Amino acid sequence: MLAPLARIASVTLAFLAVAAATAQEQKKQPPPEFSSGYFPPTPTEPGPRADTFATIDVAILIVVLMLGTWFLLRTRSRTGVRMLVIFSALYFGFYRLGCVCSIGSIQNVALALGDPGYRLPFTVGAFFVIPLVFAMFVGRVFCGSACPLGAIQDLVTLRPIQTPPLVDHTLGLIPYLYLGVAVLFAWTGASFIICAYDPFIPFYRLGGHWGVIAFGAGLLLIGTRVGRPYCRYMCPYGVLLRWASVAAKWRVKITPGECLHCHLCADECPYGAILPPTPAEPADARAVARRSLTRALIITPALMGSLALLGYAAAPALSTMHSDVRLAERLWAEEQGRVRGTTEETDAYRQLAQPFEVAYAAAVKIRRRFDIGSALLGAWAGLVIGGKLAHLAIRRRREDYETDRGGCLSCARCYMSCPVEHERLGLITLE
Amino acid sequence: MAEDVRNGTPPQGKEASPTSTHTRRDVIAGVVRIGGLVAAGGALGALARGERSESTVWQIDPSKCIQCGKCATECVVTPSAVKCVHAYALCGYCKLCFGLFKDKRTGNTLAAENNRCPVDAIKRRFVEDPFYEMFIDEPACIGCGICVKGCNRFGNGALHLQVRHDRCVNCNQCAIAKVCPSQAFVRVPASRPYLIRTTRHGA
Amino acid sequence: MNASLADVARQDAHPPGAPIALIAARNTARVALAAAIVVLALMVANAVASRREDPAKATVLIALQHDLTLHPGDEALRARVRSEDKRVRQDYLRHRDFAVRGAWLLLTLIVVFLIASDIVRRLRPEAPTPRPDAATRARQSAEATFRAVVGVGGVLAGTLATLTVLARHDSLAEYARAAQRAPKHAANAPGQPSGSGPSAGPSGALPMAAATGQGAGAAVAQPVGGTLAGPGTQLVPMPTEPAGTKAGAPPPADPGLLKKPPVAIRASLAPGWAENWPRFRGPEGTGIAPDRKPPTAWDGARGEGVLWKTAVPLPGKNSPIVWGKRVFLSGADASKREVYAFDLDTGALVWRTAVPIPAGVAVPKVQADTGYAPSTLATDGARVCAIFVTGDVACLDMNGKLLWTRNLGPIENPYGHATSLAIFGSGLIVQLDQGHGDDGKSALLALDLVSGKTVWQIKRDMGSSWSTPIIINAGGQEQIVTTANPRVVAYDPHNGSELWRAEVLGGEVAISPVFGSGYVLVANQGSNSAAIRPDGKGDVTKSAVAWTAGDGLPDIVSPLVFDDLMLLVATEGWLTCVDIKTGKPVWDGDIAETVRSSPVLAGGRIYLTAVNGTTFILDPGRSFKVLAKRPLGEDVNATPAYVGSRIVIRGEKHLYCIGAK
Repeated sequence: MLAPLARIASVTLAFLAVAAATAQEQKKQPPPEFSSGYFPPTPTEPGPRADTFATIDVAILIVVLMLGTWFLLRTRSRTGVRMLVIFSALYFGFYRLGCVCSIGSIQNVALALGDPGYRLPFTVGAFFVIPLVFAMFVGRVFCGSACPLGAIQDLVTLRPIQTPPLVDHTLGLIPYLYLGVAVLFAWTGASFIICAYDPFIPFYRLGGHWGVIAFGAGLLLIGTRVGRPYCRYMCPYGVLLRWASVAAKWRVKITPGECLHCHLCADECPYGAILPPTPAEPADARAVARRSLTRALIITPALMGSLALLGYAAAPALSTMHSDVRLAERLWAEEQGRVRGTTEETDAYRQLAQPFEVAYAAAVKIRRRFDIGSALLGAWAGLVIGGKLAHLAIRRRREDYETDRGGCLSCARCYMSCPVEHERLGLITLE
Repeated sequence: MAEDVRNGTPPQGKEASPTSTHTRRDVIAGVVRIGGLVAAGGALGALARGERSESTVWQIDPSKCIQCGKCATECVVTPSAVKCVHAYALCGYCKLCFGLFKDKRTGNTLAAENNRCPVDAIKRRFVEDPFYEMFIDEPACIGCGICVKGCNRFGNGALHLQVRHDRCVNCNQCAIAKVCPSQAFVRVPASRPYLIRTTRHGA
Repeated sequence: MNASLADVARQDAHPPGAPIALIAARNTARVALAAAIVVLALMVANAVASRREDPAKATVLIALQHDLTLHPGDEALRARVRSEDKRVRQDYLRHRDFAVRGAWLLLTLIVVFLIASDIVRRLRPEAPTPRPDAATRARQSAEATFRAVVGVGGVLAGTLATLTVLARHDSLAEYARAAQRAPKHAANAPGQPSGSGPSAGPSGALPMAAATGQGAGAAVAQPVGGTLAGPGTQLVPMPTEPAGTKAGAPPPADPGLLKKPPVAIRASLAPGWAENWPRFRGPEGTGIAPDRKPPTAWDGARGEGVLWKTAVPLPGKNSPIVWGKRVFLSGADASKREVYAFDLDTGALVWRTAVPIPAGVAVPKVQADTGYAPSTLATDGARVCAIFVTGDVACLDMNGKLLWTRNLGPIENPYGHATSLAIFGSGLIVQLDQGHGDDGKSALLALDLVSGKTVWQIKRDMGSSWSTPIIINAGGQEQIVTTANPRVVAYDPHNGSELWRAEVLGGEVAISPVFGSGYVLVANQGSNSAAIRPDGKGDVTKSAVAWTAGDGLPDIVSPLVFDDLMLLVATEGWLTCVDIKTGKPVWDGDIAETVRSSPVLAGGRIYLTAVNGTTFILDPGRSFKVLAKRPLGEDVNATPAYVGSRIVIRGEKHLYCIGAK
């Protein structure tokens, strides 16, 4: 049925002279010569949205961070910070649909390091670096004011409870591990898992994969009672910000005067980021702490080594996150008759004019990279756990209630909980 | 109450705390800051390699696309940001357009049973006898690629699937790219965001 | 907002109780939350329903439409198709609109809920209750925290260990080996699907002679994996409807079998390769045949020295090839194609086999100078293969029986595809250059001679060309050397991987490469002649190109290498001989005749046949010297075949054999 039709069509149509054909591509149905003066139009190419906004986004980010710093450290205004949170949710979230974001930019940086063919776009690089630079001076203003993922959680924090330190410490390990895994997968070019499993992006886009929507909805439900669960227990960028803000020059100072040790600020903080003064400890407790620190420092290298070995051994499984590896292994299995039938992917590959060896070679290259990366991931995990154990053993002395340098999300909630602040503002008089 | 708490504080008062530790800490923090700034600037400079590197967007390489249909279902935007594009310059103006008509049909009318497009998004306008210009009703198109398949198999391949950047939200990890079986999704510079085939040499 | 100064002031102003604003806010929050839950439930239901309503995969509709094609006259069925189509599309749009509206509604409700909750909290603040015990909580739970962190480490180690177990069957080592060298073991690989048709045997491992009979039953083999290179190439396979299949031919093989591992190429040359004239320009493909003793005197117009002269039924520009006592060539017009075998001793047409044009394959427009059969055949002594401008490759046995055909077309070529076939061991090398280079349509393929299946295929980023690849052995490495605009590319014939490339050519490349004095030599009008050392890797444009020069560039006739010289022949009859070491011209000369046939070095002399049929016999020395001119009396466009003491010349209408009995 088709062949005659095709012939009818080809007979019906005029064809170009051979002279013209050398300039024109030879096709199955050469374009007809129109007598009515009709000229084929060109398809429209609407430009990408991102390009128009590239510079504006960076400028707005800087402005939001500067305003956030101003509200946080100068005017000590929760209202101002909250306005910024709403603005960030509206602009970076609903208007810019969550991309570009600093959290995801980690992966672009890792990919740019791993793949010389990928150039880090300027905007992405700026989004990666600027919040870190701010954190080095003024702490995690980005988390409190500019981050769209933080914003949506901040807005649903209705009646936060205090999470026990045990939960904070153990779940707080996840961001480090998540960071390691995300960097591994991005560096090897396998996948951008932070973006693929970003739980709140579907809300800003009003649509997405149902599994991710459910995950995000669950986190938001939890977030009504447990403040910012993603920021505290998942966010990989938070790890970098945490480190950067340890060096912060100007930080949130809870009380404007002398601390009354009333604990009201620690109660107000939904993120468990206000550390109480340390009680006097007996001498033997300090000896115990010293022993655990020594123990932690000794086992850390052993932990790193053994987890690195385990990671190396797990590399084949981890590498299947990369579609090239999956494709090559499937092709090989099909070639060897180890599996029955073919997949859409292998069929598509067979349609390309490429020898199988090209797919194998590509997979081998990625696999080598995974061998190194997975071992490093294992070592990293060991370091994280060992470091946490060491950190737990260190007793830092505090006389007053202080913000946790790395953990404070710069939301400005604690200011108004402090009676001294009320006194400063002339609202009350302390005896 | 506040007094009770205060009684629990260690014997060393605030004024007794050695200021030197604070200073030392500040110095260390300053060194870390400067080091961090230098590292961040250096890394960014190295990654951007001197010149302002351009943003990238996702696009479909038509020579790899196999029209599996995932573009219609996997995009985070509904309906998909992938649409059919007609590269008119390649079009053979077939009388019975293979993108428009089903190959198995019972007549040459554009009734449902003969129309290849499941959402009736390919339209045609009369040019001159016997030629019609096919065009895509973009709001209706769902990017399923069924017409592209038809045009590729029997026609010139003038119909392609392309990411339409007025709709694409340019996810850092494109949800379609993640599942594309033929690895047809590629990052392209934002200044040249389309991969529409043309006939011209060296174009 | 929630803790601003105003709030504190209000805290004092409103003692605990239930002012109307608080009740209103609380009820608003409750109603909004309830409504949000309802909307969410509806959206989930809608999402579940819409997953079944994908208009592109409407199974009922597709089934109905299929029925309708079987019963085209059934008007009731037609009406049902139309109403079902309408329903599917309406449902789809309804679900889509619902999802969008629902999302906005849900968002609004959640915002209302959040605002109302915030108001409630501000209107009913909880009294601050300092809890001094909290200061010691951290220390009390320190031991538990310590254990929990160790627990996390344990969980992590467990996860990694599980992944390790999952990765137990790792085939990396195997395919890494395959990636490094030719997939020779693929032919012997276990696990070939059993049962199956005649082509399912381990054809690649069979000795060549025995394979003839084996392959004969395979008949028409479908291309591996459907089209060659996806939609971009428009290389459309033979239509799936077997309408055009020759009666009596076995049905196409079971689709599952087509996914079988392709066979590997055996590199060994067929015995007798060097004595015969198995492909365009002889066994080397470069026109070198020093062991032949061709005659030096004949006059075709008068019949002197002509052993036989036989008419060729259909026209064709392809050159004759010879194996044993058989001369093979092809002929075609717009509607039919044939492969011919003539007896070398008598000139008798021993057999002629028609190669049918598969249904659905359109014969492209070609220039008269190209014709419908411009590509020279190739044989390995057991089979003879031909390719036509439609992209149809046919393989016949030595008795003219069609073993297999494949359609690799249509080929987008402004003049018509004219590249000749090459053979490497058990692989048929097909250079399919087309389009204009940046469209990913060009490819190089190796087909298994026995089965016709693709052993490997690789994309070429070059546009249409008309040159023929040669296979050389340089530096212990077998190489397929190809020329096209704008570069020379060499491939490993075992697996198609690219060895090196040099960007030295331009224009419409019809000149095949030659190899001599350790250099791959190329030339083309509109660019350069060049000498390339074939031992590099990757892009060798800067590293391995010994020289480029611009003297006497040919546009149709391929060069000839003798001693350290290369003869370039321009179509107009201008001859330029250049030094291979330097690229400098050594001599030039003019034979004042149009030439389209390529020169051959045989019996210590250069034979060059002009279009008017005159063969110029030249001295292969460091000066231009015409030893003799021998007329044929008929136009010649093809390169003659030189075997033993005979020359087989294809004229426009006749085939001539020059020589003695």
